[in-house]
Order: sequence, then C-alpha cells, then structure tokens
Amino acid sequence: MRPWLGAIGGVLLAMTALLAVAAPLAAPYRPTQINLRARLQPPDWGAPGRPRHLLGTDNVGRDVLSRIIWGARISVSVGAAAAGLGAVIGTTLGLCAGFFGGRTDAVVSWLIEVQLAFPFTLFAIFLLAALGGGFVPVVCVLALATWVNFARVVRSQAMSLRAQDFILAAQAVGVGPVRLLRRHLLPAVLPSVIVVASFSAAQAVLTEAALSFLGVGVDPTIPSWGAMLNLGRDYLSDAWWMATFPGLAIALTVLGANLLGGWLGARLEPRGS
Amino acid sequence: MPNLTRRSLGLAVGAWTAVGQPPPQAVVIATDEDVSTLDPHLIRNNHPVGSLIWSLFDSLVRRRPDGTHEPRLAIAWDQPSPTTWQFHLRPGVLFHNGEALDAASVVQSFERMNRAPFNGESQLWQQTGLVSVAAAGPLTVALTTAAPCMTMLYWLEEAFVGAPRHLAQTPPERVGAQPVGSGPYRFVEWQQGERVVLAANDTYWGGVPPVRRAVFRTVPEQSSRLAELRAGSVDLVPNLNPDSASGAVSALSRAVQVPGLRKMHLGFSQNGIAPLRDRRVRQALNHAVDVATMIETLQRGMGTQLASVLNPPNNDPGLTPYAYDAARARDLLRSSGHQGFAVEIAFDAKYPDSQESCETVAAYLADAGLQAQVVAYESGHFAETLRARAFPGLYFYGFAALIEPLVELVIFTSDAVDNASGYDNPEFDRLVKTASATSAEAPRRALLRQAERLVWADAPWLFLWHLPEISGIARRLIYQPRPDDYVEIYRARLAG
Repeated sequence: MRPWLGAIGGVLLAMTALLAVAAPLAAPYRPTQINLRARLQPPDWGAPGRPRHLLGTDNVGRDVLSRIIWGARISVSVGAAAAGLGAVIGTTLGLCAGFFGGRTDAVVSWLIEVQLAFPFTLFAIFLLAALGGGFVPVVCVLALATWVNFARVVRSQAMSLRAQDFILAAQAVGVGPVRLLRRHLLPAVLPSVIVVASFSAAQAVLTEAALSFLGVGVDPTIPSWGAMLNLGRDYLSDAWWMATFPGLAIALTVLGANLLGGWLGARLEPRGS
Repeated sequence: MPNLTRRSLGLAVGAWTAVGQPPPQAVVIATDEDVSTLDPHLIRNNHPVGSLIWSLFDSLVRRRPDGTHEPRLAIAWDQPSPTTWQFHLRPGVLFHNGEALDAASVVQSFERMNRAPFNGESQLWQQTGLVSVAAAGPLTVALTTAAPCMTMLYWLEEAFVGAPRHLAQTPPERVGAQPVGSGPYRFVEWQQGERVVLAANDTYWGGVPPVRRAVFRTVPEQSSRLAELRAGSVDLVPNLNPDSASGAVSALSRAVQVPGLRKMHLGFSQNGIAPLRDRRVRQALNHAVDVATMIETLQRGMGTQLASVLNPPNNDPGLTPYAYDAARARDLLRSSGHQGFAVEIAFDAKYPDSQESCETVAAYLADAGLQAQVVAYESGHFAETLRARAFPGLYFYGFAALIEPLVELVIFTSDAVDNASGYDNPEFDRLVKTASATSAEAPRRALLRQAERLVWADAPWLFLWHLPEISGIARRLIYQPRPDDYVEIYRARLAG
C-alpha cells in the first residue's frame, strides 16, 4: 500500500472531522433555516451580493452545503462511537477467548458465529423499529455489527501470543490474569485494533446512512447524510443536487477511512510486509 | 405458409399474454397502496379499494363528483315520514353470477354491514341511526331510522349490494377474494401485491363501459409510476403532488388538476399538552403560520387555503382564513399565559408533502417563540395514535374529501369516531345534533352556519389547505378525475 494513498485517506477523514467540529463556523447558513422563496435552487457560484448556495437548496429552501457540514457531525460521531463501542466489546471478548481458551473460547466463538449468520440490516431495522430511532439506539445497534470484526482478529492474535516467551515469563513471576491481559496482551494487539477500527468506522458510517435512508436512523428531521439522500431521491429528476452531494460526502468519508485503514494495516502489521 | 404464419402469430400472442402482459386495449391504473380486500363492506380507503368496489358493485344511489345524488340501483325514493324511507329498485338487474337483484338482496347486504367485522368499516348504521331494513315488496326496500336523518343518501352511496346467494354461501374471508356484484365490471383476477384485473360487464344495466378491461396495478415508487406513464405502459396515476406534476407531462401523457376537497390540517390534540386546550393558543398558532406563502411555494400555487371546515359551495362566505400576523400571534400567546412551550409536530409518510410541511410549520412556530419538534411516526403507529386520540401535540392529517355539510361537521362532535383531535364543545355538539334531526331546510341551514362559525373560531386545527387533486393521465384516455380520490374507470373512454 502506497503511503500517499494513506495520506489521502487521512486528509479526507481529517477534513470530515474538522467540518464536524467546526460546523457552526464553517456552514454559511443554519442547517434548519427554511426559505420557501428559494426552494430547489440549483448550485449557484455566480454573482456576488445575493445569497449564494454553492451546492443548491432543498425542497424547503435549506442550504444543502450547510446541511452536509452539519450532517458530518452525525456521521462522524455515529461512526466513531459505534467503532469505539464495538472495539471495547470485541477486544475484551476476543482477548478473553484467545487467552483463556476452553469454555470461554467456545462461548465467544459461538456468539461470533451467531452474529455473522444474521442478515444484519434486517436485524437492525427490526431492532430500531422496536426500540425507536435515536442516537444511542443507533450506535448500540451498529456496535452489535462491528464488535465481531474486533473479536475475531483479537482472538486469533491472543491465541498465538499466549504461548510466547514474554507472556510465559510474566506468568512465571506471578502476574495475575487481569493484569496480564491489560498490561501485556492489550498493547500487543492494539495496532490491529486500530486498523479494524478504521474499517469498522467506515462500515458504521455506511450502515447509518442506509438506516437513515430507510427511515429508521437517528432522526429523519435532523440533517444526516443518509436522510438527505432519502429526501433527494424523490427529486432526482428535478433537483439532482439534493441527493448527489450527500452521496458524495458519504463516499469520500468511507473511502478515506478505508484508505487510512489499509495503510495503517500495512504499517503496523510487523509480519504483514 | 399462411397457415404457418397464423400459427406462429397465435403462438406469439399466446406467449405474450402468458407472461402476464395485458392486451393493449386494457387501461392500467397505477397506485402506491396495495389492495387489502375486495369485500364490498370493508372499504378501507377511497382509492384503490373504494375505486375497485365502485366498479364491481352497485349502491342504491351514486354520488356525483359535486356531492349531489343520482339514481343507481334505486330508480326513485320517497320519505313517507321523517324517519322512514322507501327505495324503489331498478327491475331486471342481474349480478355477475346470474342472480337477480331484489329487495331481499339489499336487505341481506345491509344487515351484513351491521355485523362485525363489517361494521368497523361500513358506517351506514352508526351514522344514519338506522334501526331496520325490510323488503316492502319484491323491488321496494323500506328503511327506518331512530331519528330523522339528513345524510341518508350520502351513506347509502357507500353501501354496496353483493350477490345474495354468493354472499350467503361463501366463507366471509373468501368474499374479499372473489367479489360478485352487479357493477359495470366483473372480477377477473387478483394477484396480491401485484394487480387486480377487471373486465367489462357485457350485460350492465347502464350500458357496457367503454373501457373493456381495467388493470389496477400496485407500483410503490412514485418515480416508477411516472416513468411508466411517460412510457405508455400506465394510463392513470392518481394522487400526484405539485412537485411531481411536471413529471407526468410527456408526448403520451398529461397532468390534470381538479380542485381538491381533502382538508389538510395540523390537529391540536386536546389530550396532550395543556396550552393546546386554550382557544387563544390555537388561534395564535393559526396566525403564526404563513399558510398563503406555503401554498404559493410548497404547493406551487395549486392548493386553496381553507376558509372553513365546510367544503365549497356550502361554506359560509363570511368566514375568511386566519391571516398571517406574527405580532397578533405573540399577543394572543402572551394573553393566554402560555409562551415558549415545547410542542411536538407528528407526521407519517401518508402524504407526500407531510415532512416538508411540518418542518416549515415548525420554523414558523419557532419564530413565535415555541420549541417545535418535528417527529416522524411509522404509519401504523400514526394511525393507531390517531384512533386513540393520543398525540401529545400537533399532527399532520387530511380529512373529509366530501361535500355534505352535516357529515363534515359531525366529525367534530365529541363522540364522533373520527374526531381525532378530541375537540369537545357541548354547545357545538348541541347545534349539530339539533341540525341533524331538523328536516326543515332553512332552520337546519341556520343551525349548521352557527356550528360552522363556532368550530372555526374554536380552531381545533391549524387550518392549512385543500390538497390539490392532480392525476397523470395518458393522452389516449379521456377521463375527468373526481375531487375525492375515487377513480370511476367506467366513466372513462379511449380516444379515437
């Protein structure tokens, strides 16, 4: 993997994160500011002096650019939170399974298989329809999908690590299992966890957009990229900009996370190259 | 050689019909909603179920698009006393299975409408106060009501008569899949979730309908319905919204608009937050929203602003829409003592413009100092909450696409099934109940006027507009849409 690809990924992600953090400063309009007289205006780069909408306006005259900038908050926070929660759950379970083996490993492996056997999107729609949408439920449901990625990788690494000399030495001098996991095994698997986290974040951003698109996401009335895409679908023939730009934002963010993840994987995996 | 050609042609045609393509002369009507049942007494919506039942069955009286009445199975009627009616049936009418229409078959169908589960959808008995239906002769039906009823003809227009032997001998759950009526079309096939096919009734008493074959197809995506219309594989797409009307115009199709009757509004739930129970607050919110500009922009000037809860031509010309006046709204809110409260605006996806309308109203309410939050409901949950009158704040809904003042006012009485806001004013109830028992024209009109003015001032709704009724119609089809969503395909014909 070429380093400049990783750099591009990093820049894309950093830009998204920056936009999310600086949304109040970066957005030219409030994302909920309605202007009925300016609805469905095409992208307008011309004539200074009059209010400009660089990426056009939507069906009630809200600025598409401002909504994309504010929508980055949803995507970034959902992506980061889902990957983070998934990492905590998955890494813990994976470490225990790989290190203790035996019955613990059997239970965790079984959970992983059950999770992988489920058609996830269907499962997510079912859960969210039952629980109702919202930020916390969406993050929890997405974490249900991402923890498996972590658990599988960490489990196999922990299995190979537990027979290595530094672990055996630590055990020989009487280090307890909790301390062993935290101080010796966790740092060793952390590089892999970071790599998996970047892929999982990309997966979470995509799934959140899909769920919002299907109307069971965070909240259809606050700007999120998936909800914008869904709204724009009805106007595809009259106002292509309503769906195109949010779609582009999703694509670039996911691309960024994947490029960065790929590069990190090549860098941090000592035996990888 | 000619033989061979004819045979291969025959084969080709056979193959063509075998893959499910209707022959070219069939008229195709595309609808988003699936058909739930074809039982004549379980009409859940005006379209598509109502449109199909109107085509397969006959009622005693037909409702014209302007709300007036014309003979259908009944050729004449009279009222021997204020609480009794006599309907004289058309002689020689045959059902599609060959059974003959007589007074007993009408009695049987009407009595079926009074039993569960049919009385959940059919409102004839509850709404008219009907107490008995009897045959007063082979072709005469006598109806008796508990009190004088002014809306008998209106409800009879939605009371359809099925073939008596078929109804009696078929299990109730199968009647909805094998409908047998006397209407202008006979049933051919129903593929659930896909389409219902009807063929012209060659022995129809009113003459054979010009469109020989009608196909009601379910096409959930609006863009697909419009694409098919432009391509010529669909002839009629009802219920378009103003933003999509231009998508119906092509070399093969056009958009047709008729003044709509459905009254779009945001109901003020009386069972939710306290401020909405204050009349000044409800009036204030009506003044806080610039409905005229919303119509001009969101509805592209195609809707008309509500100026009464009664549809024209029966509305009081002295009433005018609540004017957009932000200062007045603030004053009213201040005098009511309710300011800056949080309020929920609920909507579902039933109407294409619901989300944008609610978001715009929320912005206006925010300008008036309220914290308005737009909340999307799943449509089943929305319908349930509506029936339970359990919304916490405002809800977006469309109502009563009809022209019958008494029926339009009855839904605001405190015990009406459809009174979703929970509006409860004893004085209003008294006026409407007295009016519905008053048979003399002039005093009844005076009572209705009073009730109409009262409910307008009480403002149980944030009054919006009449939903514009826009249909996409193929240029080859000559058809005038109705303002109340029913599609009477038997009144259409093909050009040329």
